[in-house]
Amino acid sequence: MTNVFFTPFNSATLSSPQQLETVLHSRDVSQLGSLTSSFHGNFGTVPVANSAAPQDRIMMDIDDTLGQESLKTTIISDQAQDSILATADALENQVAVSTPGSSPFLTAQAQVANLRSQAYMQKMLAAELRQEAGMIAHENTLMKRRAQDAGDIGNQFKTALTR
Amino acid sequence: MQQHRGWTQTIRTWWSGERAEEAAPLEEAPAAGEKRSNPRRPFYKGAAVLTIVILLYGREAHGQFGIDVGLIIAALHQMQGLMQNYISAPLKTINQSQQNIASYEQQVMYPLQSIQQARNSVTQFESQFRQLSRSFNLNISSATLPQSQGFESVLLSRNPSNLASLTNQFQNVYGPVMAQGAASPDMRNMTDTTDAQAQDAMKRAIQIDALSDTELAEADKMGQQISVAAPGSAPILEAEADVWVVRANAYTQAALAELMRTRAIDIANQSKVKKIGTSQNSVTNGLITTSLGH
Repeated sequence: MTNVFFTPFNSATLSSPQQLETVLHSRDVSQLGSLTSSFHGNFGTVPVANSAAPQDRIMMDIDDTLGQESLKTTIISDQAQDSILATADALENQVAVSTPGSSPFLTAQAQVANLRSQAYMQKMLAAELRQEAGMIAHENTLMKRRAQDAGDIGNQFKTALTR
Repeated sequence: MQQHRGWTQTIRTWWSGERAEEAAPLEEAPAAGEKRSNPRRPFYKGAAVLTIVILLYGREAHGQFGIDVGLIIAALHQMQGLMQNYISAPLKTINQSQQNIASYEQQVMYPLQSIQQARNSVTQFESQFRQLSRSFNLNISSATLPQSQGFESVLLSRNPSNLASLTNQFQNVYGPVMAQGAASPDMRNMTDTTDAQAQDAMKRAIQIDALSDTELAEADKMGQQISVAAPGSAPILEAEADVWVVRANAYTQAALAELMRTRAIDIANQSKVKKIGTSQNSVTNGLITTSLGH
């Protein structure tokens, strides 16, 4: 199982995506700092002022922010998975040499690790919630704009046709 | 032997009264030819016989207040024998069993070395997890514009008291619902529902972050307690951890439910857009048809 889980896989073919993929698969929180530059290298930065509508710039910025947050959370979670798996292995080794008197310590520790695992999962879910909420909020903003534009065009169309 | 014969002779003489004068030399000597006799002699003889009879046939002696010491001593001897046979021997067996049980517990069930090894492992795990928990507290903010920075700071605050301020921050980034008359009621309802769900999901994310922090703090606390617990108290801590896991599952389910609602609103929006498009096409076709008929 461990071998299957830790078998590396990479799919990017170009240098910049490869770099981002390497950071994303690093399972190392010390790589969080390099993720931002790699992210911008692949997805660009927010346009400078006056080169795009203010609303668009804000939305691009928050979308990038939510995207990076989720990616950073996955790196932290990957490291958490490694720790949890290492703990499971260590507990299993301890169980093999445990006695009836020492096994309650190990079962209690396993449950505490289980609680931590739940907490980490919740943090991933919280990031996923933020990302999904940002996605529908973004679409909704576009919808508001389209509705506004459609209303304007409709009014102009009505005016033109009723003349 | 000679002494025994001497005593026998003395008693016989005393009984027959032949040398009574030697027993009372200070008394006045009787007249010649007068047979000497002691008037108390029959009484002495009776007393001597009675004494002998009592010695030979008398009952066993009784102590003070009528307690028969002999019987008590005999009973005590009997009790001692009974205790040795029926109590002391089983007690020895019980004592041996207890020693065997204690030895089994110390060497097989609760060997101190094994318990200490388990405690050391727990301490090591806890150290690793505390380091990992710090990773989840790293600053992951990346917004660059003031509006999105303010919004992001609330989103990542892990503080439920910031829920109220999220709406304003949200509208600074995504804008408010269109004013009345600026869009159809259907469109306004849809956008309002979508904004509401987006905000609800973000608020739930803040709550879940705060709850997971609490769970991690409790896990740290229980881990420390386990590392110094006794074998008997470790299961109590395990039960406490079980309860927290059950609670954490409920919170995870709440987050999943919120995520499902968000995706459901997303797919419902796509459907609604099609419906609104169809409705607007019908209106437009009607207008065109009407204008062409003029």
